[in-house]
Amino acid sequence: MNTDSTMVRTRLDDALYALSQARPAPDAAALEKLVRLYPEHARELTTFAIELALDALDDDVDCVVETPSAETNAAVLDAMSHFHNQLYSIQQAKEHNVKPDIAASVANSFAALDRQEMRSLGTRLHANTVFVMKLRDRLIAADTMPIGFKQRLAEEIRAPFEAVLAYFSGGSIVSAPAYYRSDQKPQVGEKQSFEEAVRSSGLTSEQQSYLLSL
Amino acid sequence: MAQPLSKTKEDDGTRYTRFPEVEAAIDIALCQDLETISQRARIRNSKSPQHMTSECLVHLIRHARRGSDDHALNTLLPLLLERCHANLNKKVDKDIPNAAMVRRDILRDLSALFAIDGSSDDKLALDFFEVRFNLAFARFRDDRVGKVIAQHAREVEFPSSPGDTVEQEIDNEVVVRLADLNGSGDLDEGLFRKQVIEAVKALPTGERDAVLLVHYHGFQIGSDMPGEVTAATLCNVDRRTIQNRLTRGLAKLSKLREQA
Repeated sequence: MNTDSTMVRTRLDDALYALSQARPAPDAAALEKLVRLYPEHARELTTFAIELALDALDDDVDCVVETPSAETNAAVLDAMSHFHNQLYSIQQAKEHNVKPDIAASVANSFAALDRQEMRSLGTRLHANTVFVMKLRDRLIAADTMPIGFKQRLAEEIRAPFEAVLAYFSGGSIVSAPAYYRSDQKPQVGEKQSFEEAVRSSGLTSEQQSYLLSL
Repeated sequence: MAQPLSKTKEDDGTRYTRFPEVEAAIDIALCQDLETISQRARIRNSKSPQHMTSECLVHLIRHARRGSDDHALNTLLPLLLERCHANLNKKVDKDIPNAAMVRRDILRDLSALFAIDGSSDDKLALDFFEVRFNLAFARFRDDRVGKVIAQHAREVEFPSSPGDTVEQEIDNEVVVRLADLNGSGDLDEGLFRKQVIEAVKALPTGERDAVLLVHYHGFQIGSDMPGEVTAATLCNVDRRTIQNRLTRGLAKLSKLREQA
């Protein structure tokens, strides 16, 4: 990010912080004062003053208690999975002194895959979705994974090879562990070897042969 | 006692501060067990005395993150994300291409803020969420929605031709009720008031903004005085456009009175 845009953003931060001090929403005089103080952010200030007004009006309407929809649950699960992937990458980067962005790029690549893309990646790797999920969740021991396979994966997810190495060097992930209802945190089993993972993912014999030949 | 915020203002270098009631709520919550906190965080009715504000919830999640309290982190963060998704369901227009995906991505980005909190990548963005959550989240959301809309080059045009007038007569009582929206009047007709609020929210953006700027915030429609801030200058349109939007918006709202 260049310095100019950082400064503009910082000033917008200040402008919105000042706006936030008017409660429940700024009146005309307060908003006018802010617009004069931060003329370059008049549009944003106006937009968010209206947002605050709508919020204030919302407070007057009785809250309807909603049960989270299936879409909400799925989105929350997905976000928690993303959170844990990011957290893991940061922790790993600290331990291995790897730049977080590099390690996170692989986590992001996996996290960005929807069901169809997951299937597509599986096909491109001569595998299937189950196998890709094992990769995503780091359930396969990195030292048993053929170099050729790691290179192939790096190409397919368009990530640097070092990032793939950094990603797999850490412990397994429980996808979306935040949503368990038990008091006990789910335990992650020992990692499978690459061969065990290939044998236990429901792959065809042709797919197994190909992957084990890498 | 809650850890002070770290973000500072550019103009005077002072730190951001939370509102006193947020500080007090955090102090109380920090003394409560996780089960109580999570029960409170599930309450959606903001008028309930047990309701936990999102500002407080953000602080507790960050507190858990700083203390490596995975159990608290994994219990509370999903509750905050649920609230945010409910907001996204309301505020992210379903007509935006891939609206469900946009909501999902916004939630992911928000969760990432908590992941990088305290790391070298942290820009202290979450501090503002502890000051005024709704405003911080609105900005966070709108930044991303704006990019999606720009990407799809889907700009919403508001009709503003000079001859575009509405023939319907505006019901004065609706205008009076709108003036009441900022809490200045005697509000006894609760049901009608709620209908007006919902109807204002349902107006097209341009009409809604004109109605709120003039009748909620109290701005003049326009002015001949150079440099005066009015609804027209704020929306970067001429006075007649604001007048037309106002006329159309109020005409729609006036139908409520007929139905009531």
